[in-house]
Amino acid sequence: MTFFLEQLIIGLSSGGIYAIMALALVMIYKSTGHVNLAQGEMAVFSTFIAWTLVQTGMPLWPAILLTVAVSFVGAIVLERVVVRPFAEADDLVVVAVFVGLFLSIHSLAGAIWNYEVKPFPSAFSDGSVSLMVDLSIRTHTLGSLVTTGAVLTAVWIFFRYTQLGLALRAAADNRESSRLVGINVSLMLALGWGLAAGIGAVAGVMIAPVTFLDPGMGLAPLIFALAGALLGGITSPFGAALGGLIVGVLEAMISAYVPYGIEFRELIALMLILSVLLVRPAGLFGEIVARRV
Amino acid sequence: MSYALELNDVTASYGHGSILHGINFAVPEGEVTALLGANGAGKTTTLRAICGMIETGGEVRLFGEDITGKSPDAIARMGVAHVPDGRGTFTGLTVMDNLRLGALIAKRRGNFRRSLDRVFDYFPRLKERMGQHAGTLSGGEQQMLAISRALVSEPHLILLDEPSIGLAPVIVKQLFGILEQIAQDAGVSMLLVEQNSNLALKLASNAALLEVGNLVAQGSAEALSQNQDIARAYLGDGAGAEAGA
Repeated sequence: MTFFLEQLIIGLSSGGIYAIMALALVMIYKSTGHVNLAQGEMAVFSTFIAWTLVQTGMPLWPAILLTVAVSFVGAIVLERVVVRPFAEADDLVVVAVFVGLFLSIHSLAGAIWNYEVKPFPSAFSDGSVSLMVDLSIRTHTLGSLVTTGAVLTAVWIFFRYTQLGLALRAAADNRESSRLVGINVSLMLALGWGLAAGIGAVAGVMIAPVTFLDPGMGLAPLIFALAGALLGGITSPFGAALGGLIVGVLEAMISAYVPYGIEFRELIALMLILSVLLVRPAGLFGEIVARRV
Repeated sequence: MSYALELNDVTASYGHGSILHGINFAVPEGEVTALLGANGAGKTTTLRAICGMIETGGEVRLFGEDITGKSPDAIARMGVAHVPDGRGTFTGLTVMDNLRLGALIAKRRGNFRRSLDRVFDYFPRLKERMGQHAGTLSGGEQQMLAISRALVSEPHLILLDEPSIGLAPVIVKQLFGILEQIAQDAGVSMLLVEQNSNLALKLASNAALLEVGNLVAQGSAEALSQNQDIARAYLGDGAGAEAGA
């Protein structure tokens, strides 16, 4: 039983990270209809920035905050310069742009910081916390769980209760009407990218102490996050976050209970993506998008 | 007389197709002006040109200020509330969020509660539907929501694009009753685009008549509705029955 609880907490902890990444995917998908394949690489790049700041002697938490701010601004620039010119382009063109963005960011990270795997410090104290007899959990696992929970709650409050959050939701729902109620839609699209990159940076610094830091670190979380987003519904922020958590728990359980499970975790994620697309393409909480051709 | 809106030699086109060939008319401040015409005459295009939603030539003046070439959101922030063709509902958002969006640009922030009470007075049905997704509303309710969204923005000028379209005659009658009340209560200037001319001319004090991108007549609503030639040629004799008058 304690073993199960331990796996559950570990699963929720990594699930929280996938939930954040899934939310970042949903933010961009809702407003543009495109899945940002480079989301994971952007998070890795952000994590490298945090790593560099720490190397210069900056304490970790200020480094994380600065990284989030830099990522926010960087993504806005990226959206303006690289993505915006293709806003009206064909879907395949946009996919090509995202693949290009993925490869560029990946290679740039490799060129700047090389491909050597680096340890990344945890934002929480080392060691573990004893929750009950026989059950002690690493402090980082719990801290990450609390942090992602806080980020998800903050994002929810932002979108639900603030005027800017409302304007962002409006721009995603109906661009033309948004303009007619005075919303600068192009600014909202850029802000959406900034927010997605900002919370992606948090996901990156939370996962790096577990997986270690290298330019290839972003792919697996992106696949798990995508599986989570599709499971919950890529049009539903709540569904996507929940889906991320579910995928995290599933991953932990399969690694723990299925022989050699740890070897084919990513396969499970891909199978999950396929089954959702086959059985319920809209996901658990998503709306069915009908497109007239 | 001062004008809420003046159009001087306004042209508009979609791509290569020219839709408006230089039209001139004005909306007097605090009054309702009807813009009439058959299908395809360019009524909706005129509204879109006013709001900067399409490529526009000539000159559009809002309370004397030239707004030609400004972006739709900038024009909205200047106090122009456009109730568009198709109602422009934010279908994935709740009725309440739709109304909050209308109030984003209201000058006096603290007034939202009062504005809300006012639109719920006009349309009690919306109050019952407050937490519902706006996409689940009926056509009539969505029209009410669109008008309410315009009202809570505390506009100086409201542009209404065929509010009667697709609605049952009894709902249309109700809606125009409320529009009349709004025009009286608020003293807001309105430009009303309608195919249902008899209905529109009853509400409006002035009217202009469009025919394939050209303005062919304008004057007081009374004069326009009594001019037999115009009535026969452009407004249609049978319009009275259709209006449910």
